[in-house]
Amino acid sequence: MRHLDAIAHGIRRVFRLEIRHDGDRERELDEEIQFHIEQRAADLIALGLSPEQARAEALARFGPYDESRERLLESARSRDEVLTMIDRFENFSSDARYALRQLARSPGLSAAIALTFALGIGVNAAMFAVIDRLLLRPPAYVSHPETITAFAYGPKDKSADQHFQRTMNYPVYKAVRDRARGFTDVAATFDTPVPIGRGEAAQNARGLLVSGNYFHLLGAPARLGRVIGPDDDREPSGEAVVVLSYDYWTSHFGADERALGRTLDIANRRFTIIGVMPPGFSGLTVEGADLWMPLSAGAAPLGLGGKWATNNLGTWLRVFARQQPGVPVARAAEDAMRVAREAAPAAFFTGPRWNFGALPLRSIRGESAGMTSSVARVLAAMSFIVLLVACSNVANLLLARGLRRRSEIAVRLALGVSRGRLVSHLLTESALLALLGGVVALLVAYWGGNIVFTRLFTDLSVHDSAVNVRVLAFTAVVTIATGVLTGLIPAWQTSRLELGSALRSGDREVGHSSRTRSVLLVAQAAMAVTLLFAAGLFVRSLAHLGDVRLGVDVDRVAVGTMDMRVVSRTQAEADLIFAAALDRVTKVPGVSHAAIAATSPFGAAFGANVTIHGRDSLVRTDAMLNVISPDYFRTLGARMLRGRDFAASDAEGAPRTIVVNEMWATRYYGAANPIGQCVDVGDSLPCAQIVGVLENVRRQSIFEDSTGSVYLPLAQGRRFLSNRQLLVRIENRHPAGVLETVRLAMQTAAPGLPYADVQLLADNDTVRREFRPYRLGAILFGVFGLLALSLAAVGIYGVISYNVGQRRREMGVRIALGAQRRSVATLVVRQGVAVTAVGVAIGALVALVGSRVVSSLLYNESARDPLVLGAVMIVLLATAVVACVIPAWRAVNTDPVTALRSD
Amino acid sequence: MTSALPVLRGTLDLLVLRALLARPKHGYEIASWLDRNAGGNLAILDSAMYQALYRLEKQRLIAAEWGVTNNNRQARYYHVTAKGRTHLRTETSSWLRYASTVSDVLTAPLAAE
Repeated sequence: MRHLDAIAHGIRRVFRLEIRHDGDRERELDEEIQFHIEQRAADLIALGLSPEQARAEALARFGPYDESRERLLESARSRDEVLTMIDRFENFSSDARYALRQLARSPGLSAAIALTFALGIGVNAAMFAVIDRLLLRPPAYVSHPETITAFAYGPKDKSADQHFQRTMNYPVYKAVRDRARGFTDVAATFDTPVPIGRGEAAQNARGLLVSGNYFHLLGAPARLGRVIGPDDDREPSGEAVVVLSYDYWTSHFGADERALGRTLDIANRRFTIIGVMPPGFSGLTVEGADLWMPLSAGAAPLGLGGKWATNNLGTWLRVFARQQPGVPVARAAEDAMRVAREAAPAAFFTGPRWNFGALPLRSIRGESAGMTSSVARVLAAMSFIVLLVACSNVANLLLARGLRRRSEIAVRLALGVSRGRLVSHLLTESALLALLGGVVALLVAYWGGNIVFTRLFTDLSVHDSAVNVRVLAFTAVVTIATGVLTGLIPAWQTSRLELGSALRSGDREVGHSSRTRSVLLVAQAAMAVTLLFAAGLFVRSLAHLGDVRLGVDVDRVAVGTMDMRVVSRTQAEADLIFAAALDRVTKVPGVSHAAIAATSPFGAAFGANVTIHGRDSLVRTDAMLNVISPDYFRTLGARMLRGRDFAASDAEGAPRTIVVNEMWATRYYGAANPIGQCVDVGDSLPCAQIVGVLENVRRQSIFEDSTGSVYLPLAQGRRFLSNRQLLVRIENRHPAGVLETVRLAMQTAAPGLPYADVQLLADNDTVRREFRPYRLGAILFGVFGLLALSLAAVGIYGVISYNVGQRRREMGVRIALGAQRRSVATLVVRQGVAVTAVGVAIGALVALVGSRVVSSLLYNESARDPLVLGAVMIVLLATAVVACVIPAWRAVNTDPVTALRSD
Repeated sequence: MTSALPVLRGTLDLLVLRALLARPKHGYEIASWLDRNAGGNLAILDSAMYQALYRLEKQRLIAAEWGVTNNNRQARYYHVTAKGRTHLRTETSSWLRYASTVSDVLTAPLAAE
């Protein structure tokens, strides 16, 4: 206890907190009054009064004793409070002035320190901004988002947050909305691209079909006009009204209020604009939308068919609900499941193996449930290491400066400046530097956060600034903590200065502080190794991922889509339009191949039954089906493994042909050659002869185990063709630059076409999302690692060149005694490399142990990859050597005469 | 002798400042100085004087530290700060102007009206 008291007292003294206790004050007051009364009494006795009389008179002159004493005590307390406060402020402002003078005296060093702080804090602030946007920020304009849940379902043996199925169909939704207990509002949404207008003016927008109670559930008001209400959404066909997002309103209507009442031709229906949402509103998801329409008004025109309200087979609606207060979520979800079973006993997800779950909104927002957020979390944690490296670097610089100021500080101590004041001086300096760094850090966070989002998260709708109040608060806290922590070691060391020896030895270093600096260097090297190792692992993962043979060159192949359903043309007309488009697109410079197909990799999937003839019994198999024009495989860049590609000769009426993929071939023919075998696709068809085996092409995910697929030539498979896409292979340096030309060629293939959308497969949402965690990890870990590496290099350089300066006399003596320049240089470099090597060894150990954290986030990459670790260690040691070159050169060129003559 | 005059609060502060102008004094010395210079005409309770001292300290017009008296007793000594001197100067001149104005008015000859 006594120790604790002593420490508390010490802290109070260091920070000049008020030490005077109420008891002290009272004692002083009593002493003062007592002295006064005694003095007066003594004077009165001298005038001839008796001691009793004198005392009585003195007391009377003082005033009513108890009452006066009480009032005096009160005055004294208020006096002390004010004086302490003023005192503290004056000390602080004098410290600040002094610190500013000190910093201005070496502007280069101060700038270096502030910049180091800025990078360290900035990286953390930027990562916090990213995490904040991905995970923490609640949806804008949504009231009480914590009571809104998202429906999901999955196998019973999995917990609710592992439920992967997020959509249901309208009959089930309606039943749950009307009959499930435990929710106040149950709303459904369907997001879909929306073709607007025709011909060259045609555009695509991101639309969200919403049930009539959607905006009521959210509690979101319109900025202009009104939102969609229950009256707008009536089966079978609701009001053709549309609500615009703020961004869409600004970019397409110039933020003109007269946009209300105007119309948009969406699909084959005319929608009236009734409202505009406030900026930043993105509904319940992070992705947002350009426009919102009533479910019942948009479903049929946007291709969901006339029976969308009764269709019980597919699932397409995302369902959200607001919990009723007091009803546990699990019970409410159970009840919803009961209702769903009654409503759709035949649907696959109402079977006994399945379970409903009501997930908290935050688990479905953006990337929060996915791998990207795991990577982001690890990155945020790692950015803290960057900060630590920056801190130890600054601590080192401050230590060096503290040493240079030893004589000055010793003089100040000798003049009676208390060590507490001294520590607070030094802390004020580092705090000021951190503050400066913190301000710059906000810029780093702003730019950094924005770059991460504009480069890696283009699919998320980001309206607000990367820096908000929370980021600001976070930065402030980190800045203050950093400033104090960084200043603490140098301040502590300086304040332990021994007066005599410091005054005698001048600026030459003695003892422990050089050890502290080496320890800091070791720590820096170790942390740099850890970060670089992580960066290496992610870069390798990304490379492995890029090397995976997808069967399609996602960077070269673009998919062109046009929603022909909305223009209600006949199949023959659609065929003519696409043939014309194909013809025009092929002529675009840079396009090497183009093809028409029913679907494309990462696009919609069509299944078909394939029956194998010529076996003992008929074998029926499942396969993914695509119907394609001759150049399709060359367009993708997929290789034929056996047999031949389709040719013009595989025409309508010619003998039926089919190409199967490797997976399907091995599954049903094993090692045997399937070429020439006969299979039926669908029912009641004359059989088609297998003419080729194609390598497996990824269908839905770059991570999938390939599925069995079969391909029919377009001319023979028209009856399976409900939808058409254009595939284009672009062979030039910059495929993205050709996309708009391709798009225009497709758009103008015929007059009055709906919007033609052309996109590289690499930009496909699925592909981008699947690559994203690795890209994020590789880029940001790379930035962190390089930052740590350069900080470590600066740190090594600083310490070694300082040491060389300290040992100038010794170097002079060595050279005077005839030491080889080479050996002097080796001496210096060895010193730097030795310290770094210790750090590298420790860092390697930490990296090997710690990399388990990221092992689940890597792709085909061992979390203990010795190659990466070895490379990182070599890089660091090489950096140490480079950092030592200038100090070594200086040591070698020490002039023995001047070195020996000077102190 | 007429009965002692009551002292206004702001005035007492001025008097205490004036008492300390020449040299630092402890509380009883200030009281004695005031008695002496007022010829016993001012009724100042000692406790009120201490109130004034603490008030002046709080405004940093005076400052205090413990010292030792001639007969070796501990006492709290007060001295005027630079701020206190300035304050005393301006307040004194405005008090004098006020007093002379009031006395001029009070003693204006009746015949002039």
